Amino acid sequence: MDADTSRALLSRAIARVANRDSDALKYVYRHTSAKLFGVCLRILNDREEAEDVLQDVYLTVWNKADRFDAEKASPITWLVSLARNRSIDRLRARGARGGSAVTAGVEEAEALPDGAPLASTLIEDEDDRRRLEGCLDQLDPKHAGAVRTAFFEGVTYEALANMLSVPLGTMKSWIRRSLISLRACLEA
Amino acid sequence: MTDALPPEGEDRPLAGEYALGVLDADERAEAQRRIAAEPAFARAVEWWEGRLAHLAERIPPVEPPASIWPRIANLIGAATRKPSAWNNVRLWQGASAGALALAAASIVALVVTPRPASPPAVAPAKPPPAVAEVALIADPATKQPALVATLDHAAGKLILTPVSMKMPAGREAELWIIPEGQKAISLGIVPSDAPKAIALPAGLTGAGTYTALLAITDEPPGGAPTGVATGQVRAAGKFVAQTE
Repeated sequence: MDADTSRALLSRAIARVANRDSDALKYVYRHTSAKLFGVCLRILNDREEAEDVLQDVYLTVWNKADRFDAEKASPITWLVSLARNRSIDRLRARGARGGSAVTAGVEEAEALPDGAPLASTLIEDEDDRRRLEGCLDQLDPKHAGAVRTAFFEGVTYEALANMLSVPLGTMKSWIRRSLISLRACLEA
Repeated sequence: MTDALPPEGEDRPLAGEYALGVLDADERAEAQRRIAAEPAFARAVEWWEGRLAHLAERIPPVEPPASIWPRIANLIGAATRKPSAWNNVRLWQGASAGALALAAASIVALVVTPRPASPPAVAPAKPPPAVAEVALIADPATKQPALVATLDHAAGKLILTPVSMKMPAGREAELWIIPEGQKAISLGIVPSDAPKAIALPAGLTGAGTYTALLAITDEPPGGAPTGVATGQVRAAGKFVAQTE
């Protein structure tokens, strides 16, 4: 199945979810849960929390599938953003409780080989991905590194500054300038 | 200015910062409020999410435990039931009147806190036959009932009658069902001044009827943007098994 077909099938399934079709949600789950669980684990670094958030994500899909607009967004992009946002919200809530960051690693062995589930390569728009990489490559390498770290860790400016041993003000300036440059580059 | 992405200059790229995930908890909550309230800002965030999500390509997929899907399937069982003839206005009005009468009676019957602020002066009439069950959804701090939920098994409906529902300015009341040991599922926005009937959630059938918690949170207009509660719990309550 090619990327366009998988993308169309997934978009159609999400549209059916909006009509309260639980089989459609099962389809979406079957084809995307490994990808989204990987995203949740990457941010949260804690299996139990990642499982909770994954469940929240699909309940959100169930409740808010009508918000997905296949004309404007790719389904996997929408789902990945949902999973990231829910994970980051959880990460912030963890901080607010005063809990320390969980550092327990995720066993590498549990990662599936690349391309095993449909969703790993499914529906990604290769051109869009290359364009983003191209624009990141035009940034100062340190700034691009900070953007990538921010994306994969989901941490606040403050934590990011600590991680990369840069003053907070400098980090804010790097990220903001990077975002402004990225936007100009991506829209060019 | 509502355009979150100025054409150029050093204006703060807040939508991008939100999408990248660098905001702290307070800034993040404020950005989520703006996503709900400002379409231009929401579009700017979507634009960034659509671009940045491609970085996730590098994140390896991990198979989740097999137990997750059955949990989700169980939680969404509610909404798979077929819609019934609830658009019938006359039926609806009749049910509303019934719900209101029941609500009035039940407040007297069920409020057992030591200091009710203003108990209704009228003694309840002999209660109608137990065709319906009633739950008080009350402010957890003051015990003041905010909403009366009436279970109509015959019609397969949950009827919601606001009693005294006070929300902060600019916030709406969203009702949630939390089946025992499970996650909250939205039952939608509840009007503060008129009864509303919704399909009986699956969580309120069988043994779950008396263990599921119903709760009201305050949410941005239109409801919690992500389908997960963001506001404070303003009221909560359960159905109590009736004994004859």
